[in-house]
Amino acid sequence: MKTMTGAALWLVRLAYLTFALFPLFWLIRISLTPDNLLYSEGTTIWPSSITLANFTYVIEESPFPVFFGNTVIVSMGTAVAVTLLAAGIGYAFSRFEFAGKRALMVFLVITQLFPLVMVITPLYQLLAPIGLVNTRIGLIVVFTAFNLPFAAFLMHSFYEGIPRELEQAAMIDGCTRFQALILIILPLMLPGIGATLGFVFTAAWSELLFSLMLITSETKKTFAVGLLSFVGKSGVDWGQMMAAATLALIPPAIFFTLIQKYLVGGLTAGAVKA
Amino acid sequence: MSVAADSPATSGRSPSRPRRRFAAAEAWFYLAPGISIVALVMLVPLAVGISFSFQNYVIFRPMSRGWNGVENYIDLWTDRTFWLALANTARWTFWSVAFQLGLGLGLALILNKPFPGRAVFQSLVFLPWAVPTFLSGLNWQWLFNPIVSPLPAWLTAVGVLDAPRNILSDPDLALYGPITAMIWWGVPFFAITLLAALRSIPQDLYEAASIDGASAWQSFRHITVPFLMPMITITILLRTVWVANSPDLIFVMTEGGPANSSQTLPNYVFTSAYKSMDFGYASALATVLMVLLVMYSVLLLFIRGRLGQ
Amino acid sequence: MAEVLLRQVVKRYGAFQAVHDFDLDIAHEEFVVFVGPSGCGKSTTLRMIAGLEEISGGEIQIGSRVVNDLPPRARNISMVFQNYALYPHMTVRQNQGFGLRMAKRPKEEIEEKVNRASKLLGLREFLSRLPAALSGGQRQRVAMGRAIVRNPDVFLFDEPLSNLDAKLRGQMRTEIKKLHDKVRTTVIYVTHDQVEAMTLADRIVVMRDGRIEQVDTPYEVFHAPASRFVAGFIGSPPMNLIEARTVADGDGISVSAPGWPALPLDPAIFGQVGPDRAVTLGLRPEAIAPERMAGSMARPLAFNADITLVEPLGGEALLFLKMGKDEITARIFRPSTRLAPERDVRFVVDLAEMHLFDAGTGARLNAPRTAIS
Repeated sequence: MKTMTGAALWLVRLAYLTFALFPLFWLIRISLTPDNLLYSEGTTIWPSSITLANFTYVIEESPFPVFFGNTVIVSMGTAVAVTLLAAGIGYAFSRFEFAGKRALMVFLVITQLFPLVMVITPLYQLLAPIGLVNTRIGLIVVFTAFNLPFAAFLMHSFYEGIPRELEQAAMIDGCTRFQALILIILPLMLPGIGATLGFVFTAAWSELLFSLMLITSETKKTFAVGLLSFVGKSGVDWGQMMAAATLALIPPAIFFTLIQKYLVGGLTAGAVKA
Repeated sequence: MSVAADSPATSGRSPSRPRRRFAAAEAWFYLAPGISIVALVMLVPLAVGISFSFQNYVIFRPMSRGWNGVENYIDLWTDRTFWLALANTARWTFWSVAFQLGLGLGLALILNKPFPGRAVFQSLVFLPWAVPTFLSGLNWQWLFNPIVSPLPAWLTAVGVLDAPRNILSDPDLALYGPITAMIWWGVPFFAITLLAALRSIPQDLYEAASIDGASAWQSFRHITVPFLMPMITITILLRTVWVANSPDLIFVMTEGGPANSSQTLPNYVFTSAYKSMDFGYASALATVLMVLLVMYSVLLLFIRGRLGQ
Repeated sequence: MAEVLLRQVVKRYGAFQAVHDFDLDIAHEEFVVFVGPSGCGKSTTLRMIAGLEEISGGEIQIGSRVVNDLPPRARNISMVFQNYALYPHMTVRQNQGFGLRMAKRPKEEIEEKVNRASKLLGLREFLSRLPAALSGGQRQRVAMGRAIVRNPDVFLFDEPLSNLDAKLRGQMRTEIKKLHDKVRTTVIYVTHDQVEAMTLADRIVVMRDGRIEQVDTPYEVFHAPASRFVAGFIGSPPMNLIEARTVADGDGISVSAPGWPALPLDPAIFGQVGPDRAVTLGLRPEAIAPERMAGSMARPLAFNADITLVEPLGGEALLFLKMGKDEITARIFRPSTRLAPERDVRFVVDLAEMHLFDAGTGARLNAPRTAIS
């Protein structure tokens, strides 16, 4: 009986693993399949021969390295900006009582209800006169605003896990509140900062619609837009596209793998009180 | 706990007024940069967007632009595509969230018990969430294609499909393609939040229950579920809203087709705005979607409050 | 010189008043303990002195400086928290030196002071460890070291021992006492444990519902509690409090309580208490004993009672008696024979150890005793 349930449990684990990984496996499999076998061996688990030609093409001859660089800049910029601002908001929510605090928290929750498709045009009209359309900075500003509310609550939850007595002790020991934050609290917030950075980086990396609408010039396109314009062209080279997609997967996958356990830990520390 | 407790009742002789005001100002020092960017980039465009919905605003006809009251909303009432998109949005959101919740809860329960290789397993099963949404769309679009993927053949073998064909081109089934991709992509989010909630359940409760003779199912029913409920409702709320608002996967996989059969409201907003270039109508659609989501959230929180009592 | 003066200090949270017109003068080098049940305002008062809570009214002076508007860092105080609040990412050495580092003291001075405090507290072998690698008692010591190193005007302790087990708590209590003898500084110490209050304090401040009930030496607080509340709070096991009435009894006045014989009042002490008054009679468990075990008593009065339960504690024993509808505790030191529940036992009570409180206000009815015998 015991071994039966044990075996069943392993079967379930295996099913989850297959469900999670098979699509990724297929992505990589196609990127490695030579063009001439793409359709003839389309449904076999592994093609009779493989090639790295798609990858060399994408890296050496396509515009994807530029897209890749743009996406790194935008995602990194967004992640850093959001984490910095969320560190401030989360800290204020966690450590201060002030008039309008609840209203402000509700406001941040409500922003999560907005259909973002609705703000594309007004945002475009707002950003165009100040020259932020078709710039990476513009994208960073927009993504920062979109990701900030959730990140602020995430940071808040991490702050709640740090005893207030620590900064009080520091303030008695001669720190100003700001010094206590920098010298005592932030070092202890590193898991939270890491989790927020990774979370936002991943989110910004996958954004499509706003990049599509706000970026027009080829040299500033992000990966998502680049890939999609690939699809639009006639005579799509699927192998090359999948190779590019595989490359696009690497940074968020690394980031996310590094932070996922902090994410669980941070939510355990505070958010459950919600 | 806070230094900045505000107490308007303070008598005139209180000498601490300046410091209190300073403390409140200090809170805003940390808040202001973030809050102002959110307000500027989300709130202002939203207000402008809502104002569009009361205008005749078609890019091709700049001369006829002007306020037209609720005309867009009246058009919407008689628009069959709107009602179809609304029904599709409900279908898309319900199935996506229901399966994400079920599978996510299962995954969280699995991950909450130690087993050899758990850490590696966890980072692997969470991986789909790191995949950009548009990429998972492209990927699943490919997977549903019977020529280049074994999946349709497998679905036929287990009896889900009558023949290995592409469900994305079948008007009856097209929406289930993006739904599958959404489930695949979103299970980790549920698993992460529910795992966090599971970890915060005091273990001695289970010990006490097993001493009292509770079965595994009874422990789950009477300890795990009540403890998870707050987290489950909040996660369902967040995800429902997010999924309902999210056009990416459908945009990439079916573009709402074939023949609007997989059109959801956000996609219809996008099509109206950037294919028909009718911003007024698109904004009316978006406003309706937002109002429905606000009503849904209030209802869910109200029910949760009721259950909590 | 650092005396601490509190003048009419008030703390409000919105409509709720946590501390009412708190007045207290604490002398230089005095060890004062705030004691009371949880929620009595003792920690709030301490935190107001520290500057961690703003005061809603009144004035606080430390060393003749008004500190109302000064942030904690400018008050030259140090504080030991209940959960120690050690900086988890700093070693024991860094934790102790942090305050001096913030004050920009030279490295050698920090080194020397940290070493001196560590020696005093027996922490020298742990200096490069992180707090996570220390036991509860060691963390407690580091927290005290961190407080001492800065040589502050005032030490504040906020329930510093309540996270320790009973044995360690006793040890640390003794150490704090010795420490205060070595490092003479003004100390304000908050606890809900009356044993800590009794053993450590020069003066005890008993608080209840945001108000001071009594400020006095441990001896006076124990022997002349100012109110029924103090009487019941200080002392373990607590004083027996019995609802009773005064009655005219020949020339004098007696206290009459159900199940008890008439207890005549000593007119020298209770002269102003008239007859026919509702009172609460207070008798410490030490003032009651079976006649065959009673030591010398100043004014013994005999009565009979049933022993319903015996709790032997080794060097002493607690007896529970049924008197009317009350259960009364008696405490016997060095019980000479084995004790067991028994009917109709002859007891004596020492009337010189009798306390009376007004049944309505709870105020003590005789003037506090001044003669200490």
